[in-house]
Amino acid sequence: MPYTLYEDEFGDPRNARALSVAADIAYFPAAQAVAGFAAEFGMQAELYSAGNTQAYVAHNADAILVAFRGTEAPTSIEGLKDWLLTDAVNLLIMPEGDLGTDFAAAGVGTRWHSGFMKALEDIWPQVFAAVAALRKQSDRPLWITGHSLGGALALLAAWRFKRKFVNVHQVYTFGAPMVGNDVTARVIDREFGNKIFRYVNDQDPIPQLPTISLLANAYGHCQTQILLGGATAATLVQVAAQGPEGGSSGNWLSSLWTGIQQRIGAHAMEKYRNHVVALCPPDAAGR
Amino acid sequence: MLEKYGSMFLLAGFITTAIGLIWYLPRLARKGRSGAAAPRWLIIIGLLMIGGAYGAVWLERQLPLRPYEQIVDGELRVTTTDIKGFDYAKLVEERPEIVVLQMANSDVTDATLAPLARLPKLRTLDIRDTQVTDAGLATLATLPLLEELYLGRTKITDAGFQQHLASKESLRKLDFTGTEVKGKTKRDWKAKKPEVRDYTD
Repeated sequence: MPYTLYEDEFGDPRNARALSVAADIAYFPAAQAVAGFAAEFGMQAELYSAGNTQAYVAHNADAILVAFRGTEAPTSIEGLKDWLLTDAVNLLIMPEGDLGTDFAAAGVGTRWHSGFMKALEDIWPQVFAAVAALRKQSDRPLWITGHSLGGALALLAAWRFKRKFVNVHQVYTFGAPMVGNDVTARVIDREFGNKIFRYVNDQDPIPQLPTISLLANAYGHCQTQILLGGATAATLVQVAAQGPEGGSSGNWLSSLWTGIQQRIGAHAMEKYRNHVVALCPPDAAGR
Repeated sequence: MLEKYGSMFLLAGFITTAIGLIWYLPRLARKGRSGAAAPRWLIIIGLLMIGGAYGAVWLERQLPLRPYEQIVDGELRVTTTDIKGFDYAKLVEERPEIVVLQMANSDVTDATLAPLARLPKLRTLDIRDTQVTDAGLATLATLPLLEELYLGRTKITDAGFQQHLASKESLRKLDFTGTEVKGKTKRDWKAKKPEVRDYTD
């Protein structure tokens, strides 16, 4: 049975569960993902790809869903390209051209992550045209989601859809990094009220990034954060001080390394899915 | 812009300093302090470049905010959002060719909008989060080419919209977010030209 998106519930964990599945499917290659959207959501989907950025636009009679693909693991060639071309281009800028008009609208004091802006600029014409065409057929609530870099793009796309007079129904991001400076975060909050839900795994370091740009303009997060995994996570310093689990045979370095690995693992989409599923009562399909 | 060039300068500073150090340390060991003047200068220059990059960015942040102006597809687009106490009468006098004006500031009132009547090319206007009321809409109704209007969280009413803007032919896109304009009024407005009209709320 496909997942349901509860249109009238805002920030509902069941919506988060469904959209975490969508954000996960967005990592799959086209054939597999199209089958995934059909099976899990009863939606027809299409992959859009430009430069280094990918997004799926999926729809059924009741909803339009845009799911942005995140950064692939930097251990693969694709992932390394993502890191170098997008994530690492960590300058806070005001973009130019039409993109600049749309984002300057948030205020002349706002600054935006240049790598994410470039990624959005690449993919935007295709995604916007696809959504506009679907809305022409019939206007339905627009849902946007993504994990990691995909979450950052989901946020930026929401802003731009609004500037292009397209209502954004709800946005769910998972482990998303920050997209701009603190002014930016406040403006996004004001514009979207309680329509953006930012899920963060307590141990995941990525949402803490990037804290400052290369030249010391501070980044900021928009408000509605849902913390997953409880406050039990020890800091790396504590992990190192505790020593290895189950005895004192190892050294602090190896336990530090284990801690780092746990934190990198905490960013995995799978971890987010598990946490979000735990927030929900089982649905009719027993998930 | 500054951040882009600043970061290049910063990188160049780090590289210069690193080269200086690699050059300096063996020389220092071999010839003593007196023989290592040239690499020492290189290190100083590198450090000055790093400091200069940070200093320039710091200085820019101390300056008052300036309007963001650019020409896109031959259109002059100006944003003053975030700038309090801006002189719009002067802007209109100096730049009557403005096509896009984004001025979403809380100190903008109906009186602030009055000079905009002298912007014959204005196509897109953003007055979200301002104190504008129905009286301000009367000014906007006179703009011949106005197509896109962001009214989010202004003080306009349903009656005011109906009276001043509902029948304005040039309007195509509207942002009603957080205003009192009624759902039916919005739907009716769009239904008159569903091919070109759209709105957010």
